[in-house]
Amino acid sequence: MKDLEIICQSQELKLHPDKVAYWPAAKTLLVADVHAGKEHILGRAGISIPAGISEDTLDHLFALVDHYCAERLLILGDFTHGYHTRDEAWIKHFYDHLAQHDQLNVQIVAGNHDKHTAKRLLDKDVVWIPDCLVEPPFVFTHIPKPDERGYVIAGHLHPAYVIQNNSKEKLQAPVFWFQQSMGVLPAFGHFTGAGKIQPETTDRLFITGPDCVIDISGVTASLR
Amino acid sequence: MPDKTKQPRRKSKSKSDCTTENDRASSLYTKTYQWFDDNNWTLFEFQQKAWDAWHQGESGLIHSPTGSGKTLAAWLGPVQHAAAENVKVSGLNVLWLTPLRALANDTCKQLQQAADKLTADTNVALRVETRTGDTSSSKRAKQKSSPPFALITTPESLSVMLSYADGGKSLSKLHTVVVDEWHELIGSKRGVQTQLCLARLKKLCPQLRIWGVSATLANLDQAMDTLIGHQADGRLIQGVIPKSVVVDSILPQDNQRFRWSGHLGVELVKQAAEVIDGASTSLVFTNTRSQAEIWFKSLLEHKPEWLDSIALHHGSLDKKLRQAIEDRLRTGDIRCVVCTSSLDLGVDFSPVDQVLQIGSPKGVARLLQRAGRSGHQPGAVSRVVCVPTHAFELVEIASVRSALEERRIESRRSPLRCHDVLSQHLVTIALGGGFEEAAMLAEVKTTYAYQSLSNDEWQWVLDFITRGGQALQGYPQYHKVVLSDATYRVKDKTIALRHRMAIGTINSDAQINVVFQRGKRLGTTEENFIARLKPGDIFQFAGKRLELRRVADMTAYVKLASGKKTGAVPRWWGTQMPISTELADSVLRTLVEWKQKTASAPELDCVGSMLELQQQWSVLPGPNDLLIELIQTREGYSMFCYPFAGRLAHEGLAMLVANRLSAKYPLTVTLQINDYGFELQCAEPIDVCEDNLKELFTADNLVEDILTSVNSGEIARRQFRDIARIAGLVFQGYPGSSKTTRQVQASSGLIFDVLEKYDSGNLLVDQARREVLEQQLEIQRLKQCLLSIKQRKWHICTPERLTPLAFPLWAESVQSQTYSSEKFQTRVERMLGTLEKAAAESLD
Repeated sequence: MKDLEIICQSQELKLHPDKVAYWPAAKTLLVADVHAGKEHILGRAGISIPAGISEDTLDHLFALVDHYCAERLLILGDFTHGYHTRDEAWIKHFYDHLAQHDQLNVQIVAGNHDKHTAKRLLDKDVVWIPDCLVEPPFVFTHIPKPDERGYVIAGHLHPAYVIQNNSKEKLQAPVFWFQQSMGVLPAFGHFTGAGKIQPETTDRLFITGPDCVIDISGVTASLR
Repeated sequence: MPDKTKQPRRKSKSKSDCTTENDRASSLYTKTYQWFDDNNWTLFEFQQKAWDAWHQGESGLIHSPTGSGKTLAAWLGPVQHAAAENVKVSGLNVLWLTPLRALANDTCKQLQQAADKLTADTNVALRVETRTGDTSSSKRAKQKSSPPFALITTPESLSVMLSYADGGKSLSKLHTVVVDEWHELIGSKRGVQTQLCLARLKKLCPQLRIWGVSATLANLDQAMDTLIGHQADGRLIQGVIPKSVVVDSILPQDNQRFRWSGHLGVELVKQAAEVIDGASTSLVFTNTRSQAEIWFKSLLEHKPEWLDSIALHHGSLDKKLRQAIEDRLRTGDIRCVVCTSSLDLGVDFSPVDQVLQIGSPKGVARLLQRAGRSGHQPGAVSRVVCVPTHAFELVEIASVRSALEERRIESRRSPLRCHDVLSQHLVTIALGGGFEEAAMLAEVKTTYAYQSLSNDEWQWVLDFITRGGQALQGYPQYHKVVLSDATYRVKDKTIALRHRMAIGTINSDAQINVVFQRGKRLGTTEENFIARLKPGDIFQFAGKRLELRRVADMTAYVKLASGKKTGAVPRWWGTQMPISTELADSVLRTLVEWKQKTASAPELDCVGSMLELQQQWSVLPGPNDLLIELIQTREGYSMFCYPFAGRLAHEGLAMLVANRLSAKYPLTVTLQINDYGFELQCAEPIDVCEDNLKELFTADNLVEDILTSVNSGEIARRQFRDIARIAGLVFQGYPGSSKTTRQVQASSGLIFDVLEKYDSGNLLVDQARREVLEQQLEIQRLKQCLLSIKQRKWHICTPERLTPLAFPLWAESVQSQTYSSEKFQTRVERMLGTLEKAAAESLD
């Protein structure tokens, strides 16, 4: 497992193959689109998905917090998947983790999936940010759209890219996508799916593999 | 089929020959004979046999070509019985299952007409009605309170009927089920669903007679066992000898160098239009919906004056549009309909006098069926004109003709032990009054598809429908089926509603409605096609050039496009049919005969120069050869291999070889398959000596090796789509509420990944793998292929350029699959390297 250091707006960011970014200057772990509890939403609808996926996802997330010794966890929206009830096991699991990390500052930017119940369920120990968080040089939000107050860091798109060379070989994987005025993180949740993106030649693109992150920014240029 | 023009006069001897000695029996037939005589119809021996067998309480299968009177053979037994004086008719007596909902209304008219004739001058009135997904609820209620004599329905609607608690009561007078076009159902999961429903009906009505009507298949005995249950006795009734079929083809012009690859064939549109011009009504069959759209457009561009006399018909078009076209076909008020398998079945469109097949016919039976859609006039032969889409297809056409002449026709077999269909059926029965475990298991095991179901599998399925299986133990709120007093039932109303909506086994993906802004509905297309378009983009759909205006709530609003700009044609998801073993064998035989100069067909003369090139540059393989070509191209090193075993077996074989190759040393292989062979493309040269290759193609460890390749590939995830939907793992949403249900829609691919990781014993995942092996990759055919390859003579050639056989594989780039044992980083860097190199070259 090796992360990749990049510079964005003169700030160092470490892009991790497990689809989080660490911002050392602020000791902050950035993550987007966790979609915790998704299996419960499906299970309630009679769709039989194994329990325990969200717990695994959260274990994984806090392991990364420990890995970087992060002091703040900033979730860029869609922490939850929909209408959740308090008896869902992952909620207790989340609070167990918070109890073990009592120094950790957890901030969640509300995403479109969070609107139903997330705030109601997770009031204590968690700071909810309804729209966006401005921390120069960045503006942290869920849905990427240019913002004059700073460089936007967001999620929502679950970006993935397909590398295709001139033979028939294709390779698709989640990417960190840094455009002119905003950067989009890949989705963290295991059970979330991906959206294929079509970057511009000026964009920077970092593809995530099983154990590394690779700068493939050149790919978009060589395709033209 | 009371079509006066169709059948010549009855031979006078048939009446005395076939009637049983029994007086009562002969009196049963009086009116029937009278009716046939009045219309100057021939009474065929098989019809008499079918009626006799029915009156003796037997079940069985009637096979006969379309338009030979098999409907009357199956239908008149019950009618003769009901029309007899001492019989009192009450309740629903006959169920008539049809594979296509669209056929129900026509069949209904036909059956009603026959019933009216035979009951004229009696005080019996036999009502025939339909019940499909389109039937209104008030009509259904009426059918419940005052049941018709016969009901025409689909397997899905029958399932829904069984899901109502009073279903058993309304079916208590049932004595006959007729399954129409059984050959269409038998090989599919809908056929399995039919088998389960029939087992249920037999339980409800022990005296039930089950009759199937089928076109010719190679395995008719098995087809009958599958229909009536593997323990029951049945009568196989052979119908009339099929009318002769003439296979013609459109040959590319002499001076025209015909393409070696491709799948559209539109360069022959001018000649096709001439052929269409030469007949009054033609059906133009294509192999895919996009091909149909493209051919429709091309024909119209070539003959703009046909605007009002040419139409397009495929499964994604709105029902009303299709209905209108079918009506015009029936009256002959149309010159040409470009269609897909959507018109393979159905009542006879008598005015059709010619059929065109664009692209490979894929199978002998399939072409026979399509050809049979024409030539219903007395004494007419069925004529089918094949239009090749690339040069090698000409060999296929010549081969299909000789296979037809020798009557080498394919078999169709029922899938076995489908857990998804069984899960769905058990919930259906639990809804319809519930079931007891032992009795239900015994009932299920009477079907052909589940005769070998193990107790473990049964327990798993029960567990799955009651507790959601292993997976759902964390969800106390999830109980589809509840066990109380030794009976399994469904108690929750929402689950009941949702289940009835989901009944059915035809796959359908998330579909977007295509609608004009004023509201007229054109049909549906797959979501990911529309997702790639922006408002203002032009695309081709329903034979029209459309401009996308906006997309909202699963609906794409469009208007007719102005200007000349052409647009994309949607591609619908669906697996391509493989060429059948029979046809592939025939192709190889044809090649040998061509070499020996014993074959003569205009198609072969036309491609003679191409076959000679193949022979010169490499080898032209016959049934006893295996040809492998190693060719270096700009993209890398390719190995082409031509077992001629059909695209499914080739996919398995290519995966197997790729996997074995990548197990030896890290490399990335890209696979491409077609019906003749496959291509493996690598960045480095492939180890070439014959011994090495033979090791890659061994049949040892076949199942283990192929499972490894299946696991590392996309293929099991693909197969899981259908399974997940049938078993109720993905929910398609209520009609009209697509937006609010988005949250509970997860793609089956994601579910597959999750189940694999968290619920390793899940039988549905297992089933996906098994289906991949058995249906997707045709493992039996693959195994036979590997064993036969071993015996064949190996030709390993290194041609300097792409041969006529290699070219179509090389040129095809959709649906290629990649296998990699390289490290992610190495692979990304290598791919970037080639891209950068290509970019640098293009700058020079």
